[in-house]
Amino acid sequence: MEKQYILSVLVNNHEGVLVRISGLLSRRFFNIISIVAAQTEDPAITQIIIVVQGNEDVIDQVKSQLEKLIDILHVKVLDRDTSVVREHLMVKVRASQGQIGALVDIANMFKAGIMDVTGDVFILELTGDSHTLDSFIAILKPYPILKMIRTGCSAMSRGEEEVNHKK
Amino acid sequence: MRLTGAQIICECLLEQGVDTVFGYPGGQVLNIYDALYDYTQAGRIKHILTAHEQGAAHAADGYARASGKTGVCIATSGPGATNLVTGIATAYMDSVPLVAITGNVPCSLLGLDSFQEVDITGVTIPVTKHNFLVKRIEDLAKMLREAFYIANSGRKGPVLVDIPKDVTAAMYEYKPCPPKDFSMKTHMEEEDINQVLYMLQTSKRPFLYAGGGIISSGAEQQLAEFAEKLDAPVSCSLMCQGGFDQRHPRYMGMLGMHGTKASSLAIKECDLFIAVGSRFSDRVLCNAGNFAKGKQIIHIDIDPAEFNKNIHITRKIRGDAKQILEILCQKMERQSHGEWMKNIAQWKENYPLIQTASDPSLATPKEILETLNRLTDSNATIVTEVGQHQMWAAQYYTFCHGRQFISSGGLGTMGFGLGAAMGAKMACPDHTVVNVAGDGSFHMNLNELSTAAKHNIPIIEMVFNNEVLGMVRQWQKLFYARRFSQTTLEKTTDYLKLAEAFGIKGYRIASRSDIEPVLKEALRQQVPVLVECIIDRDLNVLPMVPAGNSVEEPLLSIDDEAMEVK
Repeated sequence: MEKQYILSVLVNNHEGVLVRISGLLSRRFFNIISIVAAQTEDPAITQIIIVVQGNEDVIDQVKSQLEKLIDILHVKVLDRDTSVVREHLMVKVRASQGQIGALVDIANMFKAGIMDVTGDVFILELTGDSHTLDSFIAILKPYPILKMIRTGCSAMSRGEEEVNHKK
Repeated sequence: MRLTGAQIICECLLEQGVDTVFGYPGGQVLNIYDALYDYTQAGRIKHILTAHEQGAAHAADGYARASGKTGVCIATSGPGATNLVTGIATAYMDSVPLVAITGNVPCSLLGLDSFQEVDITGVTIPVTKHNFLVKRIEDLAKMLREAFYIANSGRKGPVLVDIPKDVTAAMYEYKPCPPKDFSMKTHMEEEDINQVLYMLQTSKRPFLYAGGGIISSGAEQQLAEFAEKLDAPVSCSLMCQGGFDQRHPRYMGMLGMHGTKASSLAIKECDLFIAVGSRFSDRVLCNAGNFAKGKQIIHIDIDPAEFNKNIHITRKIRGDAKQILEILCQKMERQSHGEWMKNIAQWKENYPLIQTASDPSLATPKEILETLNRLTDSNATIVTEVGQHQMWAAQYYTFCHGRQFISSGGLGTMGFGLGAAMGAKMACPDHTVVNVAGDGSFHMNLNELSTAAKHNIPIIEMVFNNEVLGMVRQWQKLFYARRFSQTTLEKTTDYLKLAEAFGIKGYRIASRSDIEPVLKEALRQQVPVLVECIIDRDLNVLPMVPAGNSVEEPLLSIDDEAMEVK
């Protein structure tokens, strides 16, 4: 069955490593929803979280193809049920004088922050799972959305199961 | 010992046991070539100067395929480096250990569109196992050693090391270091072994199919022993020609688009399909959806990414083919499939490979290759270009041992053969090396005849001249209503004069009666020779499974067929 899988990938923090990974994923035509990469507590190692759409066979392929890259230390498919999955959203909307109250109510309901107000333009931010972000965006539809940025998923399995390590 | 980067490169090559490199100098590799001057003068490293960098890459590839050692090629930055790309991609598709060393502009000029600058590590990411850009002299030896290790460990493949000019000039302390052991220890779980043994021992009609992994792993003997104990017929992919002795009654010929009818029937009738060291290329599967449908499939491979990639399999075994076959052979009880083997023998007899020319006076590739086979006692190294002649060489020469057939299987690189043949001859100077070419492929890289002549590399360049691009023409016959768009070459090239112009000997097989005397004469020479063979332009490679059709139903003739393009 097609669904979204989260891959937690540890790589050497070498030049071009992200190009190798994204190039591999694109030339093998895997369907990538998001890629998030950042340094870990060890500056020599980068953590990458990739969300891939596909069935189990596709995910096995993605995993084994990734594992062939020399700079990749570890690939793990995360289970959503036993992982914390978060995504960050910033959205810029326009709200007229009469709409501001409702906008603040929506923000409060989602525990979203209002980061900036410039004239009638508001920047809101929200961190949550992808589904919450989707709902938040849907409810903001009546306000014209001027700009939107989602970071893509970052995720971590619960407990001590997944710990950084060198190859 | 303090050495320049260029000297460190040469020392690292020696460390890795490299005795021959193929390359072409240029601005950004001046330092490397200056250091190499001492090493070549002292006879420590041989350098073969090719006509074009592509030839150097193919030669290094041929050297690696013939010897099992790592092939090394050197090119300058920019166009020198990009000219290697086809050769690197060829090696990548066929899992050949190759280290390509390229120069680049000094670090301070990188990224500025400097003269002859190209991001060759960027360009070659998709066609290398890995590549390095060496920006610091401190990393040079480490990265070169790592390149050789990566090229040879696991599933083999090419690695590129890009070295800016200032790094080759910088001085650094060099400490010799023996090459890292790249052998792989295969471990099989008891449970996996038992399950596979159960499948093997309960099968009534097993089919053993071997790919290039047999040759990379040096598992020819283990394959033969396993086949014997399992009492199964054997089919080989193009990459495994010679991986199983083709004189053996178990051998059914190739499998796939131009496989034998016996193989097709066997795959239809078998109950267990065992693939060893093969990646189930689309040229073998023909139609992935119905290949060995409903059969049990065991897939043995070193690369786990090949499992369930092109076809769904029943059981996978990951590891080195040689070790796995050894383990299975040791634990398996001797099987006997008399009836099944009798069927195989019958099919082989009923469906031999046939080739007849419309003009009976003309030599056929079959006759030429069979005569060559007889005159060389099935012992020559046969290299090929890509096209009809490639398939004919695989079909009609009798290969008996690994590394005897050298051909661009995965990428299908026309122009591969001449360079590769020179590399193979450098690796195995005692072998007779013949490059079987078509007139189309020959014209792609014929410039390398100058290399064979200059370095006196005594190969036989055998050009099957049918004045057409035969394989494409064959497809045009079948799928495009004989509209021979741009495939009628009819070049005005005088092959004998061309050979003479390059300073090599030229011969012509113009009719059947020329075959034996000309081949004998060519084989006697200790210099490079060219043999032009005039053949019928409408010979086809048969059997043929048209793309998308089932491998179980090959066409045995195509002249009266017309099919829709899929």
